Amino acid sequence: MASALSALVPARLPAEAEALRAEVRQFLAQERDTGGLAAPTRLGMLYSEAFSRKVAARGWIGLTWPKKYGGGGRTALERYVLTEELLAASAPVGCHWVADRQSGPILLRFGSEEQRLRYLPGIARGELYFCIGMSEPGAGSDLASLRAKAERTSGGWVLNGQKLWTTNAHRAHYMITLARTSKEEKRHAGLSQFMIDLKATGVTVRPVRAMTGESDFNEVFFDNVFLPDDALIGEAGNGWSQVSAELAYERSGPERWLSSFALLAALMEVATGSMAERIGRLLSHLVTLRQMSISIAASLQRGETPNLQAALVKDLGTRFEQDVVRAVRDMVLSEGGSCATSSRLTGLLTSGQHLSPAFTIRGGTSEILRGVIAKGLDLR
Amino acid sequence: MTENRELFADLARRLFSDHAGQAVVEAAEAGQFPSALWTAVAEAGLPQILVPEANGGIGADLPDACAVMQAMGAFAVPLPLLETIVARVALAQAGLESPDGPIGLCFIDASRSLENEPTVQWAGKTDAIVAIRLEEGGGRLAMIRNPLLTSRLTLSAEPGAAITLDAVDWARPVDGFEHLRLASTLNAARIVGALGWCLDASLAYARERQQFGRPIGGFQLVQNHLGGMAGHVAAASTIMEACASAEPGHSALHAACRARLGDAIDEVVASAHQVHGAIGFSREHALNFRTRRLMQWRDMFGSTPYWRSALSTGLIGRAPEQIWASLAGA
Repeated sequence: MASALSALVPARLPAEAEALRAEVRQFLAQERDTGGLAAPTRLGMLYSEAFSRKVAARGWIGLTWPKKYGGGGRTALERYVLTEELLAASAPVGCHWVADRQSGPILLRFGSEEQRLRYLPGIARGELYFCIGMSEPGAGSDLASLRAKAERTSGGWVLNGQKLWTTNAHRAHYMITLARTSKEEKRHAGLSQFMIDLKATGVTVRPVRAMTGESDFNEVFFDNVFLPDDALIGEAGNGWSQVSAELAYERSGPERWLSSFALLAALMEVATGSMAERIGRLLSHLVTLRQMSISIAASLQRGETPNLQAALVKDLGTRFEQDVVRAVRDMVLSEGGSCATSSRLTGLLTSGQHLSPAFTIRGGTSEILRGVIAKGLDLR
Repeated sequence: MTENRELFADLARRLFSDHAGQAVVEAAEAGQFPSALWTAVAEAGLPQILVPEANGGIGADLPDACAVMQAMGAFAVPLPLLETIVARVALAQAGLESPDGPIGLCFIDASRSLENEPTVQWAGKTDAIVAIRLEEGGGRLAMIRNPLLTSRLTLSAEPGAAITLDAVDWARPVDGFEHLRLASTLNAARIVGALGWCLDASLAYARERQQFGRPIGGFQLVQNHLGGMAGHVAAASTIMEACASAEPGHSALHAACRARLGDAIDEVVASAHQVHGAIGFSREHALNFRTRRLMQWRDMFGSTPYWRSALSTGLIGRAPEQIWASLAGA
């Protein structure tokens, strides 16, 4: 069979991952009982510093990182179980999400020992939050056309430019950003990753209101921001391949098919038997995407960079999430009168409809993903 | 893939490429039972691949049998092999002697109308038909030597007939749902085999077929079709594998598998034909021998809607955390 398919090797969750699942469920049940975790009234990532600290106190941020950096030294499959349990419960994990998912792993993989010791323990304590500085006004899908520029100066670099659609920049302490450090013949060369302290002089964060009415994302301006030498992550000029590795973390997780689960579950709570077939269809996609994600987690555990697999799952997963919103809407509109539609369901559905166009854009558009898949099929 | 499974896959591919060429498939669709093919498959022991060794079978694992079924799907093999494999397992469990030759198979379920009037593939060309009636907590089995049949047009164009079960002797108690899940999983494997074939054939055709002075696979719109197909085939393959290696009682995975495959078939069939253009629609082209079978297999041993409802019915009305716990296994 085609190479794209042999890429998804079936995997099963080991006993220690299931043991962790039980612990996480117990924690979530306790939070529900004590008011730390409410039934969601809108779709979308929720933010709570207090909740992030509690997750950290259990040792669940940086779960796979070595213990000397404050991590848990556990496997990627255990982390997979942790993340799916938190997301399925709509837990407010937004504050630490990016730092745990990709900033930390990038530092582990490409950062210096000093950088790891400096940032990872704070992330693992649930105290340091990160955001991603990739997109710009003129550089969306074509990321390599970005214009943010870092120029050499004595003792470091001077950064100028602008980032856009930066989720959580207004709450985060640091940004890992991609900037041009030299002009090369090949456009993917000459890019570098930097650690930006968002409180540094010359950094301005302004909220961008989304069509959902929320302001989770921002535009970030850099006006002669001084970056010391030790702000460079990895090698100067190696930014593109570092970012490619980062995207495997960004695109492969269960958040790419679980973000509309709260809506589907809220409908199921009050659904009628006449909706069984339409709901079962959606669930069959969810169960399948979950198996695909488990396969990816096993691949990460083997130390691979499953970019192609991540593209397949994100492409299917985000289309599925949109499908859920449309299907739930139609069921509520056509048969909602026969069941007790709650104001919570209405809130989830309204926010779900507003949010749904973003599913297939954020973290890499479906078109870019199909391009990655076409490459994997040797068509490009 | 385990070593054993690789061996079964190789054996099946070799048998089918030697004995199930297009001429055999076409003759079968004209109503002629492929006797030479059956003899080769029977000599290799494949009809009793899942019968325990103690009962004279091979005693292989379900994933091994799935490897054979994947090859069957890829080669569009016209044979009641799946039916015979399941019937022999069911007969052995019921303590009944199996006939030597091919066996037809059908399931009925009065309460949920699994199939109102079951159509049996190859009915009339088999030694017997095994019918299994699903009942709460089990079911009953009947072996029918002289069935009352009404010939039916089938999607695959392989011979098939509706069977009348009014006067049948439901002689033996069996675990009907276990046998249905077995048939359904083997069916999923042959579907995955055919889906993979469709993707590979479409990729090969897109590289070779030239229009506007270049291979059509160079056009982004065609790549979009192929990329979408690859996703559905990967999804189908992943859920089938999970289902084949699941604990016997994991009914949610089984239901999810067949429900998901129904959508994968719709998408892959449409895209494969779109990539192939008119040539795939011509009867002599290998593509439509797969797509017609995919259309048939999509709704055999429980239709896609049946499995969708089976997946959700027990979950409706429950709290979100209970729904999740059930989907994520306990």
